[in-house]
Amino acid sequence: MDRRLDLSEETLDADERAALRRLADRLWDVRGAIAAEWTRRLMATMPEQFPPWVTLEHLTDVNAAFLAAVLEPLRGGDLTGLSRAYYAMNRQLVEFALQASPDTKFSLTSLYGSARISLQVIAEQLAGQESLLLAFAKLTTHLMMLIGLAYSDCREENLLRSRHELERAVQERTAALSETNVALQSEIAERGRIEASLRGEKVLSDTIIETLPGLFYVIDGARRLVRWNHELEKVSGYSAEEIASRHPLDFFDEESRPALGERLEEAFATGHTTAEAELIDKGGQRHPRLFTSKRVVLDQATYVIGVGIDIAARREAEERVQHEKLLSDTIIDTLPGIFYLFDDKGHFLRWNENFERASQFSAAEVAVMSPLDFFLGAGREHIFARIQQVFRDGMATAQADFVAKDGTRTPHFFTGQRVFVDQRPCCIGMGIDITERKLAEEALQRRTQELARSNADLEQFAYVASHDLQEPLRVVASYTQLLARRYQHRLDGDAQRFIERTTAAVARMQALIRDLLAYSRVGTRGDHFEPTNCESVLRDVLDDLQAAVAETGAVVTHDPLPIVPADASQVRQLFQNLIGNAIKFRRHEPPRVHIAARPVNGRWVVSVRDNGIGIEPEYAERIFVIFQRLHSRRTYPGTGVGLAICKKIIERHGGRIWVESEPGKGTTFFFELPTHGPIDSAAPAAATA
Amino acid sequence: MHSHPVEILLVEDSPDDVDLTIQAFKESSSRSRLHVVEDGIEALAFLRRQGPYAAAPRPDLILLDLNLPKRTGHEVLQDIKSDPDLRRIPVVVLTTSAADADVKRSYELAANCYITKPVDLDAFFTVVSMVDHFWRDVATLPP
Repeated sequence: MDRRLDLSEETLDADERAALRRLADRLWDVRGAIAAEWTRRLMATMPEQFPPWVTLEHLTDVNAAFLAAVLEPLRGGDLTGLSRAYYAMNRQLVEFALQASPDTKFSLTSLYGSARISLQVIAEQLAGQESLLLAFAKLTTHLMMLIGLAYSDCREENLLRSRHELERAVQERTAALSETNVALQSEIAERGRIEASLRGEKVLSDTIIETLPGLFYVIDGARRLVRWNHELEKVSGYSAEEIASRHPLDFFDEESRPALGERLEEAFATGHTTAEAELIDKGGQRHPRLFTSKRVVLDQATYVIGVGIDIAARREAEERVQHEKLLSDTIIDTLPGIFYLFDDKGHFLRWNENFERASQFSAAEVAVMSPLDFFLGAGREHIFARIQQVFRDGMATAQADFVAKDGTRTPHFFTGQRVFVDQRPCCIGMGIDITERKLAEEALQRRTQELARSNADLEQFAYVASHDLQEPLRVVASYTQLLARRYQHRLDGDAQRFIERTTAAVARMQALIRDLLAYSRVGTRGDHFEPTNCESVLRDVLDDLQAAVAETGAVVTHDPLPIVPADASQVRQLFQNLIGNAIKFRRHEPPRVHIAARPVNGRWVVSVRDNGIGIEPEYAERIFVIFQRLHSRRTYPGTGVGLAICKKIIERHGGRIWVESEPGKGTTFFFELPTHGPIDSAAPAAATA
Repeated sequence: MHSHPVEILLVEDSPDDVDLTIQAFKESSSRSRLHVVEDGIEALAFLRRQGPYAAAPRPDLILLDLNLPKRTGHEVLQDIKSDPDLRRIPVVVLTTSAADADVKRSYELAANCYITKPVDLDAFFTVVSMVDHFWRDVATLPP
């Protein structure tokens, strides 16, 4: 007999045993109701203890049988029978629970929980019967001990049995396991590699898609957007959920949808399509994009994937080009002449309205014509050569008659410059109508020629006249002298005076004619220009004027003078006349004359300064006119030709002559002489007097 | 020194100048004989003893004006100097022109002397006297 189950006689007295018998009798009658209530509470408080197939009804039957099994020995007063029955029942319960569902959290606490509920239900049945309750409490303590005993016994046996079974199983399976383990390890490793690789591929493709310079989209066979990059959300302003719910064409305005729809179908049908369209974002803003789509087949499903590239910048550039073109067209059309741009094959690329107006050819006609078609004869050859020059040297100009459709010829001045259009050499340029300029030029040339001819005639006339005038004059002078020579002693005083007057007049007339001849010779008889040293010319002049210098006590000084390209004999005459004048028109004091030269604007300005009587400003121009005199012959003899000759000489050397003077103080004549090129090379080395 | 008088041919179209030259020779108490023709054609006829000049003497000296009608003095000079019979006769160009071109051209055509007539009468008389004296008394003329 297992002593652990023994409920000793001395722990319960006779009264208590009698009370337990009565208790058992009473509970026997209501054991069904107790079992039902017990089961209900049990399932309500510990539902996790029961597998889903355990129903309330079934468990109530089990509990009712349990109650009957323990109440029968108690009614017969057999406490040991009760203990054995109770122990066995709980042990069975543990066994069953462990086998039925090894994974349930069945434990001793569960058993105690269940027992407490049943004892509580029973205690409620015994309310108000103190003696029965006291006996029952003593019994309950014993029953609780039996539950713990049954549980631990069962667990221990089970564990022992399990361990043996486990050991055997382990031994049996270790071999198999080690075999499969190797295979498994390699399989795991392989799977790891594949997964890593797949993961890598995914990361890579995700990265690619996200870093694409535009929108990315995948459209499935049902024409739904199934994948896209963040850029689409950013540009469209729609969330991922919103995009998923939209038809691809919903991103475009109504007008473009049919065409874009066709394009999408084309991608599904032919495998490829492109389309330019403006994506409209959530806020209504338009985003011009170039969409390129391709068809792909994945796992037997057909998709279209594509990218949308931002072409806003390109659109803007195109618009700018359009604006530029409009501007240049306007400029070209408002140019005052004809404008043209043609390539090296002679095809016109651009021309302006003036071109069509001047040529009388329509745009369609010009388009198939060549530049040479607008010229004839020599003009055509000239233009041909000039166009070749443009393509060879980069630029050229030409002058030719532009021939219109009706044959009208208009003189034009053309420019041509080589430019590269799409890497092809082209000629760009303009033609200006120079009819008026040419007419003016011709008129001017005609007038110049007439003037030159009339000048030459005049000079020839003056030369011939003065030469022929000299002959009779010489005869008059000669015979007057002969008269005086042969008949002096036979003539009275009056006759002698008349002869003197005649001789003086003839002498003056001869001087006039001589000077007039000199004047007329300046234009016609000038020598060629040659390097002329002004200083040596001045020395010669001073030699010639030696008598006048000595007589008047004149002091003539000069700065270093340049070497100039000039007619030496004329420069000599110039100095002679000016220095001669400076000495002639003196005051009472001895004349002082200074000659200097300085470079001004690429020319030499030579000055002849004196301290003479000076010239009133109002005569500053008149003194250069031939035969103009300011003084009586008695005070200052002369013909009035000297300065006119000076002016003519200077004009022949391309310069000017002018005078600055203060009456009573002195006069300075200035005249310009050409230089040999850079002034510096001919510049005087040092100043000397 | 010539035993016979020096024969001088004056080619001059202006009667005034001819007269003045005759007066000048007269004053220089010349023993020269002065023959006068008015133009170049006549001058050559005289020299070649053609027509009315068949009996003309061969001149020892020619005084030639440049400004002549029909043939200019330069042309006459060229004719004389290119004629083998005449080219030895000294030719003195006596003219009013002082132009360099005339001077240059005359010497190129082998003139023996070029004199610009002085405007002053006294000077002219002096020059004529000097010419007469030089060619008659100083220079040796070709035989």
